[in-house]
Amino acid sequence: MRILFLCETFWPAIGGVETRARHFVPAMRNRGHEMLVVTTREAGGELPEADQIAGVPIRRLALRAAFERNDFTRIVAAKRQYAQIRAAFAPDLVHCFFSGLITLLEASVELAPPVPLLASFTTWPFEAGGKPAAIFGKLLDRAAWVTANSARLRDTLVALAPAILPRSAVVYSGNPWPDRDPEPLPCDPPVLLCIGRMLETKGFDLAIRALAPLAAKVPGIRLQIAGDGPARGPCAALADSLGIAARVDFLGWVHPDRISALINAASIVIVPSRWEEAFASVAIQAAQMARPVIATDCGGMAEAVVDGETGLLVPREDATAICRAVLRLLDDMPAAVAMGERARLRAAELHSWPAYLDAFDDLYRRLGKLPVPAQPDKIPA
Amino acid sequence: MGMLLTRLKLNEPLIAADVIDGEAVIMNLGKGHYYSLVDTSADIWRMLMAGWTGADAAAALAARYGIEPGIVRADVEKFIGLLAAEDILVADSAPPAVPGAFPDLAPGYDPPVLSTFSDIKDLLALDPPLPDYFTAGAM
Repeated sequence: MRILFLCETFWPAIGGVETRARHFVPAMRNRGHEMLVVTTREAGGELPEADQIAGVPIRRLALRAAFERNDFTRIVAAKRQYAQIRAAFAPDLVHCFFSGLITLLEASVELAPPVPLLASFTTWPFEAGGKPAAIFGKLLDRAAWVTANSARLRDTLVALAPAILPRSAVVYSGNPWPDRDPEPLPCDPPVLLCIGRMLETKGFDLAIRALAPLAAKVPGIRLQIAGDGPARGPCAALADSLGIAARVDFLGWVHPDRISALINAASIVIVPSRWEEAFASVAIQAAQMARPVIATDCGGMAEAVVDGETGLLVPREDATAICRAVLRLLDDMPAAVAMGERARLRAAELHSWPAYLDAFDDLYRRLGKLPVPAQPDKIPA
Repeated sequence: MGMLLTRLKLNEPLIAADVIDGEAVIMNLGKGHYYSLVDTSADIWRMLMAGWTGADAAAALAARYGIEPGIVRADVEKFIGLLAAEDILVADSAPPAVPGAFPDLAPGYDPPVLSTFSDIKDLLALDPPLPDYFTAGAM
């Protein structure tokens, strides 16, 4: 089948979805699908418009740059370019793997040829103010099938658009299994690890605040933060103001291929997000390396981390709770090790990469044979 | 009656608009809001941009689809009200001209809808920075 794969941002941009897409696209090609990736181009424009990954063509449209500059002419040009690319490729199915501005190219109007649209949701469908984002409503309206990467996210989508109930499913994210075995949890000194884009919403400042009292109680304890972004400066300033700058390592971006080694050197992985994490990929990666996870109880995180079994959940915005959870695990390392082992077993079952590919392969084949609904169910604005 | 009997025009330079593949794409350059009109909404848009009044457009649509004129008129009036409330259209005080030709219409009538995307800034905020080891050519 010919799959037009829409992905708001794509490799070499780094994030949970982008990293998964990087592996997903060649894997689906190996299963016999002809893939074409359409993604956005960063404002700087360093990356070429036409590219490829493992033999799969990539087209990058300057849509984000156009919106950033309010450049209507370029927005229109990007839409026309997309319509031409789509018509020339003649897909059997459009898979919106990572929604965003790029969704505007597909979800607003029925382009020729009309084909089924598969919408995969991996982020929470709300604006900062808590209002459903219009673009996601549009996508739900048009999708022939909807997948969500957590049951809580699917429930949220169904609440927004009840019509999708019979055409939606939970597909838990899969990750390729790491090519190294877990090593024993280091405890002398313990190492805490956060991974992700350094955005305020990721809450890395909470991990730093939690470290301050820990530093006084646990000799040599360190916090490593892998990633970069606008919150890096404020986080560094916070560590400095708390007198723990020497205990925090800002690693910058770490290549995805090195993440498993980084996790292997950590005792505990912390996901302190203050936004609704649909299902943090970092929690899966930590589980695969048999690390217990301390995570904020938000979004779909209660499905990623089974509280007391594979890690500990803490309330949102609560550095004290993170501190207590770290102490609880460090005070009972056998229990922490057991949590990590259970997490690894669960990850092997729930986040199996082959099973993940099977799920989408099956959807591709089933949806490709479905007639396109002439009048998709409308969702109230 | 509102603006039904008034000829309308684009509120330039605040608003930019174009029709692509049957979709009317509109942008409020001040707010950064993006709007999309399809099907009947796009048809009404094209008629308004061609110099038709809302009342004339409503009458033509009602005749074309065999719908009670009062229903279509109310739909169009509400729709124009939405466009005006978003500062997309303003009254055109230029001397009347001959309206453009009756356009090809969507196969069926749907009450017009203004799809508003006011969350563009939030979507842009999701943009991840490119890791420096790529931009520095270290890979």
